[in-house]
Amino acid sequence: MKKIGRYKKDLFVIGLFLLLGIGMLFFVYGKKTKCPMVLVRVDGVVKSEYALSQEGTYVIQGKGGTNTICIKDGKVWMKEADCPDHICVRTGKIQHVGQSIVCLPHKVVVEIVEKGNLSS
Amino acid sequence: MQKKTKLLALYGMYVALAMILSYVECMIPMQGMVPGMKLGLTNVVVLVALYTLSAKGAVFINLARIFFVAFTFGNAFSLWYSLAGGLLAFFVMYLLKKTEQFQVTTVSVAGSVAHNAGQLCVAAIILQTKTLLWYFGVLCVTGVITGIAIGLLGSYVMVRIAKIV
Repeated sequence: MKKIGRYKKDLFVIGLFLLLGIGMLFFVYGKKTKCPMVLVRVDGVVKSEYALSQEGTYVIQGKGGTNTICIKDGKVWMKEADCPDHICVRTGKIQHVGQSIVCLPHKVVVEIVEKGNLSS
Repeated sequence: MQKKTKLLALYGMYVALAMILSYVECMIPMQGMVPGMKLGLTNVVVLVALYTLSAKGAVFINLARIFFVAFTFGNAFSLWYSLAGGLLAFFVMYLLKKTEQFQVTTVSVAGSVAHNAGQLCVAAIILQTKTLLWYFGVLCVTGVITGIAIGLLGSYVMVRIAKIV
């Protein structure tokens, strides 16, 4: 018991970070929305938007290259990209409001937002 | 004079070690996991420098590492990225260490989380989207895990090198 007492402050700080992280995760994944939209931004400007139910493959012209997104079964993923790091492709499928796929080299952001809340 | 020479050699070794670890980190694949998640191996060096040298020494090593790595294996983006992460992490670790209330591991955890927070902020500014900041939740949890690993590693290293530094 004495040993734990010595590390009390440490456990408090680490626990605080964990709680904050898990809390934010719950906030993002816990929300259910009726009309999720897929928003595509290039360099901060909204280039196109699709409903999450609008299945298909779309080509995005990013800065210095192209990215191809695929929407199917209520999920979005980056199918192809000619960027150097391919972090966007590796991100995998996203389906919840608040999730996003980022291609930093091409300044492309694909995010899922709630309808009517497109400006945020 | 002898002391000065010893310090010079130590600084050189720390910077070299930090660069090598950055390179090693690039080679460890983190595919399929959280994008942007990093082991933060170089943080071991900064942590050890902070405890065994001085705050000034740790800042110097951190900055030297960031610039050298960005110019050798990085690009203009990764420079801003790691500059924000690295400096914020250092600042938080320095403050926590100064209070003398916390274990090395806790200092390391706070550093990891701060590193992620700094990088995420830069990414959100570059890409001009606030949605990205929600991603901090995942990075907070992974930061705690990698921070604990790095903190433990760092404290073992410090025990071993206590005699020479």
